[in-house]
This record gives sequence, C-alpha cells and structure tokens, in this order.
Amino acid sequence: MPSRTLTPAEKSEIYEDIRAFLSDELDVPLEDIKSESKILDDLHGDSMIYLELVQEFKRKFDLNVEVRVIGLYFQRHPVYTVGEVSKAVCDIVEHGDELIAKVEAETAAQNANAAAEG
Amino acid sequence: MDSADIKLISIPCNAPGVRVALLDTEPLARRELETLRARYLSDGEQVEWATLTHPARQIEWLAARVCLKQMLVRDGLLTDPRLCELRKDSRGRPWLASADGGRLSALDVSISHQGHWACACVAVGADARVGVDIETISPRLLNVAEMFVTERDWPPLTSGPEKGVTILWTLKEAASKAIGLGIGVDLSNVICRALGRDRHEVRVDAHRALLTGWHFPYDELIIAVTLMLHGPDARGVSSVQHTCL
Repeated sequence: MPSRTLTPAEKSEIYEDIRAFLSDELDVPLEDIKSESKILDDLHGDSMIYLELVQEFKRKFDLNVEVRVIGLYFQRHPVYTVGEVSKAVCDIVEHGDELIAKVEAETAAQNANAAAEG
Repeated sequence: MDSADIKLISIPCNAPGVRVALLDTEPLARRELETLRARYLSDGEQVEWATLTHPARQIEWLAARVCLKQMLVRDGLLTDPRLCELRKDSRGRPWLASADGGRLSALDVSISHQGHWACACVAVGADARVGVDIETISPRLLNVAEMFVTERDWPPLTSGPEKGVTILWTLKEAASKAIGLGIGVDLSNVICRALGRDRHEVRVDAHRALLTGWHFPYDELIIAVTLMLHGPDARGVSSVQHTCL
C-alpha cells in the first residue's frame, strides 16, 4: 500500500474522530477526553477498545494493512493515551504496510545516535 | 469489615501450583471503600489509588487487589495484605513486591476485570509465569474477530461463534499477559489448539513461547488461564518454597 501524507487538518479530524468514538463506546463526556487521558485508567477502557479503534479506522480509510504490521507497530510504540492512539492511527493511515520499515529506520537512527553519544 | 467478609469464588484450575479466584464487585461498590483501602492496600498503593480519576476504574483497580491479596491470605501465602503491593513493569505486567520493595519471586500473579467482576491468579514457583483474562460472552468480540482469530486456531469456529470467539480472545489475552507483551500485541500471532474439553496449547512463535491454557465458563463469563514454565529449572512448581509474609 503506497504511503500518503495527511494534512494537519486531516490529523486533527482523526484526533476528534477518536475522541468521539471513545466518548460513544465508553460513555464518557467528550469534554473529559483529552490528549493526555489514559484510555485504561482515566476513561475506563479495555484492551478490546484498541482493536475496535483500529478496525473503525481501517474501514473508514479502506486500509488493507496487515494486522501483524499493526501489532508490531504497537509493540514498538506502546500506546496508552488518546494522543498516542491518534498518532498511531495517523502513522497507520500514512504508512500502511510500510510502517515497520519506518519503525525500523527510526530504531536504527536511535541506536546510531546512542552509539555516537556513548 | 473483616477480611473474612470478602467472599471469593474459587475457580477449579488443576494447573500445578496455580490458584484462581473471582470477586463480584457489586457488593463491594456498596461497602465503605475507605475501609477496604485501609485493610488491603499498602502505603504505595494508597498513593496510586488516589491518582485514579474514573470511579468505576477505582473500584475495579481496588477489587482486583482485594481479590488477589485475599486469595493469598486464604491460602496461607500472606498474613497482612498491607505488607505487599502489586506493581507493574514497563509493559504493564504485574509483580508482587514486599514491604521493603523486594520482588516476591516465588509468586507470579495476574489480574483481570470485566464489568462487575474482578479476577486474580497466582502461580507458586520461581519458574512459573501466569496470565489470566476474563471476558463476558457477547457479540462485541465478533466485530473484531478477524483481527485475532486465524485459520491456524483449532478447532475452527464452526458453531457457537460468540462463546468460541470469547474463549480464543481470553486465551490469547492471557498468553500475552503471561509473556508480558503489553497492549496492542498482534493476537493473530498467538495460536490456540484445543487439547481437551477445557485445556489448550497456546503458541507464540515470535517469542518462542509455548504455554498451556485452560478456560472455565462461569455465569456469562469465560475465564482463561495460561501457564508457562521457563528458566533453567522448569521441572515444575511444587519443589519451590512458598514465601509467606
């Protein structure tokens, strides 16, 4: 799946869609859902809500990205807050199956920086 | 309120050294939360509890610890619930710490909650890693089943899809908890194979992990437990000395 670039407005829309989704699913007032809100601790979500979120955005953007790729991404970028989930969804939409290559490049760069500093 | 007032439901798990208990939190919600906090939480846990803002989250957080500690007291593994605390590592895997902050390495623990139920599981043994998960049988999981059910899972989901999907979900979640994979792991890479009526082999190839799993229906719930024995001496858990605080 080719990469695409989301505009700031599209990223903002995804963030607001996630807030609305969580508000509906978890029965939490929209104004209580902030970027730093922890989905498990502050919003009383559960682990299934993460799958439901990904499924929702796969449908919305007609994504064919493999579940394995999303799983690997989440393992390397653990997400706990609404803001982190929003960034993850934007990354998935933008990079699709190339997500892992992006993460590996980031990891290699971090390791190179650490080696240079060490 | 006395700790004897807390009624645990024992789940008959025949895994070696593993105990599982359920706690219905509906009565707890009506009790004095302050009393339970004072009786069951360590000083560090009291501080953590105060940071939780969602009332339902506060209750389930407390209930899971009450369930775990009451089970340890009941089974003679703990004398004072306030002398140990449940901590979590960077991936959210729980572990028990003693009052001096040291790790109680002979006890491996896992917790779960769903609706008004809290569940706790403990494995006695330095080489044991355990995971537990509970989930209500409902259509909710069917909407996301394609993200974790694969053709490699056995038996295939040909009948009773809601119950079958719930069994697979809880087994896979319990396995990810036992290994410590964290949230968002690719559960389609966790493969379940039934070995009997309620016993399963659970394989996570990416982590070269092979676990034994059990599932137990209770009320409208499925409870799944997975156990992995690892380390240089994985002969079992029965020879390990119990730690009692």
